[in-house]
Amino acid sequence: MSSLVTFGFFTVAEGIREPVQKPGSSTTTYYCFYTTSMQCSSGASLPAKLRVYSPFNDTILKDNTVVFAISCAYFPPTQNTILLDALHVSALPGDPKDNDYEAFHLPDCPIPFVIGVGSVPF
Amino acid sequence: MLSDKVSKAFNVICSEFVRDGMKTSTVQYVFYFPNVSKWLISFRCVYDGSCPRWTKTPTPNVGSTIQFFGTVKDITGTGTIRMNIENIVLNVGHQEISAPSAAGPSMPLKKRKFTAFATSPVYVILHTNYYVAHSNDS
Repeated sequence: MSSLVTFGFFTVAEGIREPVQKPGSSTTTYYCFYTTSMQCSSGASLPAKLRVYSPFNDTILKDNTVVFAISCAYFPPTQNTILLDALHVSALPGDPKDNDYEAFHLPDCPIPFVIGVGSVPF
Repeated sequence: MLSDKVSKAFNVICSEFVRDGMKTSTVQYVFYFPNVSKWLISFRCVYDGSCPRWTKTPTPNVGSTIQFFGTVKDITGTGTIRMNIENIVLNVGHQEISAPSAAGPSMPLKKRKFTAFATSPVYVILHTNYYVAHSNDS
């Protein structure tokens, strides 16, 4: 019994749509990969890559779009990029290029939450 | 217990299906209390020392499963991720029901009697390999 899930608001950029063939499978699934970051309560931010399932005719989100995302997470043992597989993504309304995009349209909650279940080994 | 005699730390191993494979993240948590300026220990969770609600929270038992909820605080130069815990659930999962000892229950055993007429009410305690009936007769 174990899980590691993050949820909260993430800013995404550099979106790219790529096919992925799962191991042992002959089918190809398309995903959008976004560069994002996990902001910390100390003010630092950690690099992360968000993978989002991309159905047919899907469009890539604009740079600096803020999304609400629930994702499975993997934190590598060293300072590598955090991997996030989105279970749910919803882009917040508004144009990221507007000056008042963050000021008036977005909630003041830039730090995502982590919820996990795990065992204590020692 | 850490060297400051106040803070407590423990590891937690979390696995999740990411990028089409099971990935395991090792998380290290610290119960953090006031007047502690150092974080001694890879993936750490922190009980916020400014909040007294954590002072009586015990360290999880070895081998137990916990659920935690919080935010990432920061990362150290060695890649240790530290977290602020906002909620923790200890001993998650199936709990074994303690079986009665081989000697049987501590209460004195009474020889059961056959009876043709029901006595009521009768309550039966489940989840044991014996039953105790409480009735209004003595």
